[in-house]
Amino acid sequence: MSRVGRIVLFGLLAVVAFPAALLAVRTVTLLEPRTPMLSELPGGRQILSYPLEQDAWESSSGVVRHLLSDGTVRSFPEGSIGGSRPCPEAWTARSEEGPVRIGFLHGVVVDGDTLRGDSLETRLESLRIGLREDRARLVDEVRGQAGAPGFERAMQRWNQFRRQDERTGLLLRDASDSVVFLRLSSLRQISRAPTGWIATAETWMRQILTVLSETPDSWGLGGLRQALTSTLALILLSGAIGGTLALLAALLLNERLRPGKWALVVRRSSEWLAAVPGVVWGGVGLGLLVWGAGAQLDALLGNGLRWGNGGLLWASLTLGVLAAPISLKRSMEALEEVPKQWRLVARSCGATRWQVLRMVVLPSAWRGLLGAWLSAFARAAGETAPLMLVGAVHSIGGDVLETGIRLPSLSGGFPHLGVLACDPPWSVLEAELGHPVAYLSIFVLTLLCVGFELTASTFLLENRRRLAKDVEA
Amino acid sequence: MIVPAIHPSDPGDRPHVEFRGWTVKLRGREQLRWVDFDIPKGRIVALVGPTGSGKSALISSINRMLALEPDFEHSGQVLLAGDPVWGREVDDLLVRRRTGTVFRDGTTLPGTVWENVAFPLRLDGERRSGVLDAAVESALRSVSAWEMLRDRLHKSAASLPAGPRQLVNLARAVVGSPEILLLDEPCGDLDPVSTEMVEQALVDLSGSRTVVLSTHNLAQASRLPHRVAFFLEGHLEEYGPTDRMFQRPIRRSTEDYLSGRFG
Repeated sequence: MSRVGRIVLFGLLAVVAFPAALLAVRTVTLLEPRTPMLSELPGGRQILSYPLEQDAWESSSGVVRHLLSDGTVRSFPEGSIGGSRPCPEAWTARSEEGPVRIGFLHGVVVDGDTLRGDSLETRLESLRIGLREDRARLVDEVRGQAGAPGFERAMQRWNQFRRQDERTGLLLRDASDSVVFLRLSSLRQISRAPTGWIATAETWMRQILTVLSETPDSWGLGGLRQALTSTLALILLSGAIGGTLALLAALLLNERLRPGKWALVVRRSSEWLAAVPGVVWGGVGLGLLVWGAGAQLDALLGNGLRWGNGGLLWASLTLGVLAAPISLKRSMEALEEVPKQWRLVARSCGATRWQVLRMVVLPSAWRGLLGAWLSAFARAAGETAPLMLVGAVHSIGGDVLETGIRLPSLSGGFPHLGVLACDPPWSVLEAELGHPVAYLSIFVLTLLCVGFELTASTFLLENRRRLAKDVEA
Repeated sequence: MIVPAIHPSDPGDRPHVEFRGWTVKLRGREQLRWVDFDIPKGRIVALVGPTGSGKSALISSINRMLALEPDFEHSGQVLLAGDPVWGREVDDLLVRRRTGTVFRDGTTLPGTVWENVAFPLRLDGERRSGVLDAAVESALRSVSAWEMLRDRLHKSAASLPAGPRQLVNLARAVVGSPEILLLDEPCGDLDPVSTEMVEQALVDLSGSRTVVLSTHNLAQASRLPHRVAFFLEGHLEEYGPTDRMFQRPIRRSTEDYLSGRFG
């Protein structure tokens, strides 16, 4: 790579790296394991709570907010809460079925029998995981047997599990001694603040991984798993569509020694199209693909609404068309860097246009063409706005327990990192509690964009350097 | 006004390329006007004349490279060994494989020396490396470049100095045993030493092959060819055996150009 090329690349990298680093730092600091506080209100009542981060408005008006043990948030005048002390023996439970709870472990109920004692704490986690695994297995069994003779039996086992599950949980007692029962199998997480720096670091790491790998659930909790996989699927699909479209067009237009007026028309219009804002493309996709092609397809198939909704296919086509102009421009540049004289010499030997392409142009310009192809992926990765019109959703359902990769269907909606960042389904509370999914999704998206773009430009620059060397020599 | 060219015929030579009233217009500008002469078989013919006199257009008429130009009209006929080159059903590729072409600027194809020389054969689908190796060696030997390049066969051709690079192009032009060699100012960008190298190669390989050579170098035009054709503004002014052209030119313009008074 040339020196100028390197300087430009690293300059760009620095420009993007700075905000990306800020995002990463913010993400990581928000995920720091925290300890609940035990404090005293003016009336002498004690509360167990997480103090929330003060925003600019709150600090100027002297308000602090606390997440209380029942999962609600309350504002207090600054200074009205006294005697706060960390309370590492309190547990925090995140349930799929209700708000976050904070409390002291009062007891564990197993199939209706209340157990108490110190050894409970160690059994709690294995009990919870066992139950969740049982549940996942039984759900699978019931699903698998749907319509089959074994369905009744599976259903029986499921109901039996449910009965036992309903009566297995833990009792959390808050600072004012009221006790709440939480079904153990519904808990995504039950933890105490780690003590000691090793445990803290471990918990910290685990939180980051959790946010990256969890599936979201109906409460809007959970992580980026689905958004990550379907964003990747979308980028790959639309990049492949747009890049290939552009590559074919460039080869068709550029590999004639007699450039027709079409080359000029396509070149000019692609320059213009490259400047069209993404959301306009979203409108085009919605109008032409979803309402146009999709509705027609549904009418033709007669199976009800399937393609007439926004979905992965329409979104990929939209992003593909959006990404094609830049890729086309770069493909043409890469082809133009191949000296015309090479083509003349090859043609004078009796090579067909196809042979010139295969034996002269591709071997010498494949890096540039690959780079141009990859730019379509970078462009597709960097665009969010049109997706809101053609099928981005917050979640594609699925069991919270599933561990495999769930890809959205071609006709169905899909979660997308950029859309989650713009329009997060997670409550603000979650973010403040150390669940910075929005920041993390922007960060991951930035990495994806920069990764694709850097790879693409590296190939393009390398192509230019090599061709320049060949021509110069 | 059409001035008939003066070209005393030589009854002993069978024509290889025949131009019959050949007229070429490129982008609306006349490049060749009513060119009417024969290139005899097995001889070296030099095309001389100032820049823009139509030498390159004439060469591109023989290998049909003119067909690649965007805006191109022609009338008259060009016959290659009796076959019309510009007939309606003529295949560009077949014509180009019967000819071997070298351009002025010495550009080689990307890749190694070996890949350059073997290129025309690989176009025909020849894959056997034994056959290709032998053909590359014999082509390089025929342009007297084998000793010089045998150790650099697998080095990049573009990295060679200009002289050897043009020899590689020459070898590429002859590797498919074309019946006629078309050299468009092959020494145009070369220093005298390299020119000497290429001329020597040309003399060695011409033998019984027809060679059409366009040149600005009058010394070269007086040394190498059997015949010289002098072009001026797209028109063949005079054509004849080299000695006569240089010693007893008929036209005033020929004398002025060949003696270096203009051009």
